[in-house]
Parts: sequence; structure tokens; C-alpha cells
Amino acid sequence: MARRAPFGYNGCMHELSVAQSMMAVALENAAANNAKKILRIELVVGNMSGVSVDALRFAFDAVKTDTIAGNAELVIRETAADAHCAACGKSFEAGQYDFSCPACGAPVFPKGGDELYVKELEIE
Amino acid sequence: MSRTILIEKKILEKNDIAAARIRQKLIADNTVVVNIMSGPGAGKTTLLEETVRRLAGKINVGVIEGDIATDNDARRVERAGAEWVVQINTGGACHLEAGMIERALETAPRGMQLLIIENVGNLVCPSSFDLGDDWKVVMASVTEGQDKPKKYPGMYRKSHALVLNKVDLAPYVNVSPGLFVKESLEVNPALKVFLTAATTGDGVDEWCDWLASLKKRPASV
Ligand SMILES: Nc1nc2c(ncn2[C@@H]2O[C@H](COP(=O)(O)OP(=O)(O)OP(=O)(O)O)[C@@H](O)[C@H]2O)c(=O)[nH]1
Ligand SMILES: [Mg+2]
Ligand SMILES: [Zn+2]
Repeated sequence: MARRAPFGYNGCMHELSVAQSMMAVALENAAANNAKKILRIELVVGNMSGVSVDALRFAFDAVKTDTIAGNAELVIRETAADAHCAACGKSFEAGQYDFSCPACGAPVFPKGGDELYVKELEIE
Repeated sequence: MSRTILIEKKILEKNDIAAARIRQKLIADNTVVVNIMSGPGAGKTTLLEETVRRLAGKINVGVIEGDIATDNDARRVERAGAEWVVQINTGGACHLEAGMIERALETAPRGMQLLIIENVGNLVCPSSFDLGDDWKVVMASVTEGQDKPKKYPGMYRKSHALVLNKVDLAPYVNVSPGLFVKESLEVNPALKVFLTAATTGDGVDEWCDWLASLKKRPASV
């Protein structure tokens, strides 16, 4: 028999679940440091992480209410992947939609940009 | 007085830890885990039905079906002869997470050689979540159009193989499978490519041979 495992989770963009995980990390660490309030949350989000910064901000507003981060500022540091052109030697920061070298047009395959972490918290 | 504390903690750490536990659990039976991702309707379940039919009796295959709702897909794969099938309903979430797989695996039998996970049909979100898989496969259908690899590059970059399905429809939708593959390889040249028509069985044998040949990947970072 096929079985069904139920999961009571709602939300249709994965930034919501990323925001929930981010909030859990922030709240855990705030509690461990006896914080009464979180004033600022600083994240590092790579441009290849698959997370949209706008959607994450939107989701953050939804998950912060009724927590000690209710008035926290969300600071997002975006990082970019690195690309190196094997044909002409040019190195550059690549966006998600860069598939070729801006100097010579040869195909390039960006590396990195996968960062997705909570860097620091400002608490009181 | 406010103070700043340095954390440097991965946001998806809990997911990654669950994924590591899945790898730990499945290493005992050397179970190879394949995570199939695609936009809705590319033909994942149809391919899995054909796959299970071909591999049943040769290797022990388990299937986890991820859908927002319904257990249609699990029923289809079960009818095709899979030994063990579980349906996960995410109840709205657009992707599977490792914790869901971990719970689904609680009822898994011992001795599975291959575990195929059909992710929720979605071209963006699933690739952000490690499911404890060894191999990631992006599936596409020619009817989506050959601009999709470069519109949704994330999933193509993260995958090890591409199954380009519904090649039987290529003449009707004015899409060239060759060009689709070329566009895909310009995003990720390492993709192992399969051209299939799951409904007629074309190309499915090659895909099954590849699946049967897969080894568990050594746990990386
Ligand atoms: N012509 C043609 N139709 C196909 C092929 N493969 C699948 N289909 C049809 O495409 C439709 C969707 O197939 P599914 O296997 O349900 O696709 P899926 O990716 O599992 O869909 P979701 O799980 O809902 O995302 C069905 O009507 C299939 O019969 C193919 O190779 N050629
Ligand atoms: Mg399906
Ligand atoms: Zn160049």
C-alpha cells in the first residue's frame, strides 16, 4: 500500500521556509546570549544560492512578528559567484544568468556563490 | 546597551544535518539515492513507472513521491511494481526537505539498492535542499521550450544528469532536442544526457542502465 506522510506546512515559495530556518537560527543564538531583543540580523546570501533576496525580505516580515526580532532590521550581504574564462583568461564576478565571457564570448561556468548563512546578530 | 555577536551559521543547517543522517543510515545497505527534479508535468512519474517495470526483479528499488497533494503518483508507481513506495504530501510547500525524507524512511525495508525520490514539480525551489541524495537529475520536456535551461539555470547547475523527455513531441512544438541539449550543456557541461519518450519507452533502457550502474558517492563536505 502506498502510504502518505502528512506535513503540516504551508507556503509556496521556498524563501518562506528559508526565512523560518533563518529565524530559528537567530532566536536560538539570541536566547543562548540572554538577549531580550534582536535589533539587527545580518545574512550572507550568494547569488547562486537559489534564494531571492526580495522574497526573503518579504518572508522575513511574515515570520518576525510576535518574536523578539519583531522590530529587527534585516541586512543582507549579497555575494557573487566567480567565473574564469579559459579562453582569454579574464576573471569576473558572475551573475546567475552569465553563461559566457563578457570579454570574448567563450562559455564560462561560474563557481561558488552558494553562501547562505547568518553572519551576525545585534542584540540587547 | 546593544552588542553584536558573530554567528556564521548556515541557514539550512538543520536540513543539512538531516541530510547527513540520511546518508549515514543508507550507507549500511549501500543504497544509492537519486533525486529527480523538474517543472510540473515533465514526465517524472511516467518515467518512474517505466523504470520500475524494467528494474523490478533485477534490483531492489524504493520510491519516495513528493507532491503538494494527492497520492496519485505513489499509486501509479506502486501499480508499476515498485517494492516500496511512500507518498509525501508537503501540504503547500513547493519542495521536499531532508526532514520529510527522514520521516518517510522510517518505514523503509532493509536492502534497498536504489532509492528514487521524485521531487515536487517545480523548477526553482527543490535544488536548494539537500535530501541526502547521491545523484541529482533534472528532467525537462521538449514542450517547455529550449530557453528553459538558461531561464532556470540553478537546477541545471546542481544536477549530474539531464533527462530530456517527450522527444516524440518535438516536431509538433517546434523544439530541437539537439539545441535543448546544447543550451543545457552551456549551463553545465558535466551533465550526462538522456533523450527519452517515457510514454513509448524510447531511451528508457539507456536511462535504466545508467541508474543500475550508479555507485554511492563518497560523503563530501
Ligand atoms: N507525448 C508524451 N507525453 C508524455 C511523456 N511523458 C509523460 N507524458 C505525459 O505528460 C503528462 C505528465 O506526466 P507525469 O509523469 O504525470 O509528469 P510529472 O513530472 O510526474 O508531473 P508532476 O508530478 O505533477 O510534476 C502525462 O499526461 C503523461 O502521459 C512523453 O514522453 N511523451
Ligand atoms: Mg509526478
Ligand atoms: Zn573570455
